[in-house]
Amino acid sequence: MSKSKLGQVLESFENSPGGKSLLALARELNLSQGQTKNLVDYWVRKGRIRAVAQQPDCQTCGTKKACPFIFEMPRYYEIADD
Amino acid sequence: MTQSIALAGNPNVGKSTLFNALTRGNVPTGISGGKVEVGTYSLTAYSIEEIIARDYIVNERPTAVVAVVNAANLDRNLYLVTQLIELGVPVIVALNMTDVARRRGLAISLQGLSERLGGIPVVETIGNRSEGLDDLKTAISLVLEYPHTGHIQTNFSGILRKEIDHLGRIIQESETLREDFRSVWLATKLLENDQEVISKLKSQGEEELLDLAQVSRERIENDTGEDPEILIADQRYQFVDQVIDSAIERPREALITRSEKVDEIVTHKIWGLPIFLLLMWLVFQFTSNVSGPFLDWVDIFINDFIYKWAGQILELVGLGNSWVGSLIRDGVIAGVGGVLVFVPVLLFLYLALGVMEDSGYMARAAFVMDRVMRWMGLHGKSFLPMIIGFGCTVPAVYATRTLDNEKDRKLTAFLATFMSCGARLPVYVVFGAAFFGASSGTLVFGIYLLGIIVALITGFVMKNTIYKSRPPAPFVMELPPYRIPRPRDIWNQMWERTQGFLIKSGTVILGVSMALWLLMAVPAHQDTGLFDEVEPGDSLFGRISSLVAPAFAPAGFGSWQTTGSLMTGLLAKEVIISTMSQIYAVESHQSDAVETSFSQDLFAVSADFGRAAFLTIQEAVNILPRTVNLLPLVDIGELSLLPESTGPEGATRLESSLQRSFAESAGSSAAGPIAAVAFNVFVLLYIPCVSAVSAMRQEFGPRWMWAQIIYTLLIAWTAAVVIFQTGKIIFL
Repeated sequence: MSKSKLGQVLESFENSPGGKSLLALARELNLSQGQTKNLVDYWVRKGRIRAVAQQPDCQTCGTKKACPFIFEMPRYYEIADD
Repeated sequence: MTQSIALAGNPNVGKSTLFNALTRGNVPTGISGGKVEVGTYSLTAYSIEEIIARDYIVNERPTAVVAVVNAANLDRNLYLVTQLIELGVPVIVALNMTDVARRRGLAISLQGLSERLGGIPVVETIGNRSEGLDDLKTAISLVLEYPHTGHIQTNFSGILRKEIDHLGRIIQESETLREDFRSVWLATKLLENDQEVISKLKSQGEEELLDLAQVSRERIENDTGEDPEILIADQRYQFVDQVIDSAIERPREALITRSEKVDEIVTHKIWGLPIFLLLMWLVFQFTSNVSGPFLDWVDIFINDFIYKWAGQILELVGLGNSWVGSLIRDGVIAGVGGVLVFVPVLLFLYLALGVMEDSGYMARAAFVMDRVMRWMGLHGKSFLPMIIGFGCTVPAVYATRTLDNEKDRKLTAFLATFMSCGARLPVYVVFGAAFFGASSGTLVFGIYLLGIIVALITGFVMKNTIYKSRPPAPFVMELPPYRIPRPRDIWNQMWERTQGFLIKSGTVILGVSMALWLLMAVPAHQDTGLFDEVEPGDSLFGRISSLVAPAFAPAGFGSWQTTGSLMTGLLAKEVIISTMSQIYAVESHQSDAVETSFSQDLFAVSADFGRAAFLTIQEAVNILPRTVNLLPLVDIGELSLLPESTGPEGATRLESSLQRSFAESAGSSAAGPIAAVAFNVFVLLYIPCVSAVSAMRQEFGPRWMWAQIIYTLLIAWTAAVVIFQTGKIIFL
């Protein structure tokens, strides 16, 4: 029996040697980006994958999040260790 | 009898807007019938929001639920709708944001959608324009009058269908359960191993049903090799996909969006990196050349006009020849003014970076660079500190906190210091203009590229020797869609970043300039002159710098002036240029002799401003032919709005002084540009500013900080010497 799409998403995360875009993952699973995002979000809700919003924590700096040098970076997903 | 309507939907689909429009704002947003409205993606108990939303619907049993969905993003929204229908409550779908969906070319069949969702009403709305509200109210009234629960074939198939039916029949046989729950929903929850539902049934003494459910789960798992919960979710998603396929017509290009097409090229395994490098080259061409005319104008305005007439005012108040007058002109105006000259450069740099960021390309750049870093064995998340390092090293060091592994954190912070921060840019720009003219953008690009290369090589060596750690964790990056940059956002970014530079000029650089003036006014020895009358080279600063200067002779810039600038540059990199401005201002203004009136000077400065504006347009237009001319055998003409001799584009006072000084320290005029490149490479690689070093100490301790200081000093000196000596062999 073929593996479910949700299972394939997790498998792809675990077996991928490096980083890939959501688009690449969608192509790999023969899905649209929206469908793929749905499946990834499912695993995020379940706690198997975590979404990492990259925002540096400059505690000692007065400007903190208003720092003009911080670029808004894309969110990414990775396997949650715990 | 009280009837209650619940509004449910994913976060940010316009529930509050629709709620306010329906109630005309008479009920506070977020509160409905005493219950808190919670946006949720599903009704499976994974989070507190989902539990609250489900408990409300299951326990409070609203008369009907209005499922608010984003019509432009149905595939994300219908999962929740299917779960609401499975619950057995009457559902009305408010297809919100239909205007956005239409703009994206989506044609949604209301009838088709309704049929696929078991015949429930589907109504189009545009909440923020209060459109479709009457239809929605009518649909709600009808449902309240004739309650209708949809019945959908969620496509649960095979053994899953069999076990749901099996448990459903058992549930139907229990009067209590039949009253409390819809049998199919409860059977599904039991197969999903939903702990909330299981606890509730345990408290009701339904142990037998729970045992049977456990047996069912095991049967499914043995048969399929997968967790029943995953299979259920997967089949729901498949059902949603089928609904969308049958009820929505998308334009051909919507299937593969323009964003996706562009991404296929700009994040391509092979082409991604060259495209990134080409764009960065264009950014630096734009920054260096387009800002050039205004840079020259600001230089003339501050270092000639302001310097001269501030001197005249000081003469008038009797301070012209006093140490106070000297401090104001040679300390404050020359020092701070020398840095303010670069405000046009930074404005143009931040304009270019703002466009790249706002358009969504910066995220692609991060993705492309990430691939390169991974190839070198570095961690995937390292790209964030690296990219931030192009702005400022201090937040880059703190940005390493996103990394889990301590070794990776240290290594990334170490490497981020090689990313050329914005404060170093004025150095490259002034040297580029002084020694390379129209090719200055290429020099700036080359310096930035060298920083990346040194970081990658250092990272590769360290990762394979002293910093071996487990391979980087795999990840998936969600790239935001491209968009047309918004001028107001770009301007805000430009202004905020430039403001940071201006604040630094008014604080750190002002302080350093005044301290430097003092060191340059104090004679090193009583025989060399009096206070404020000493030759710069014989001042305390000049003599201290002279002691270290021989160390830089092999790199071609062993003069006390450059050495002194590098020393003060440890406080902040902009200070390198303010120091040079101060040193050379004292030297060059001593020979000023041209007498002009205030009105003549004001007219000249105003005329130069106009010329600078014309030349800026000319330089901006000429980026295209200059880029095309990079191709072999191609030579297209450039725009020329003004005769070459007009305008303030000649070498500035500082540039001329640098040409002389570097020719002298390098041994000849021809060797001057090579020494200038070596100096720029040294500035790129040597010890970061004191704030960045402090951040390193705070994050990683004094040992690591000293390792960083020694390594950067050694590598900077070695690179500068190699460049100068090799350059002499090749070019002279």
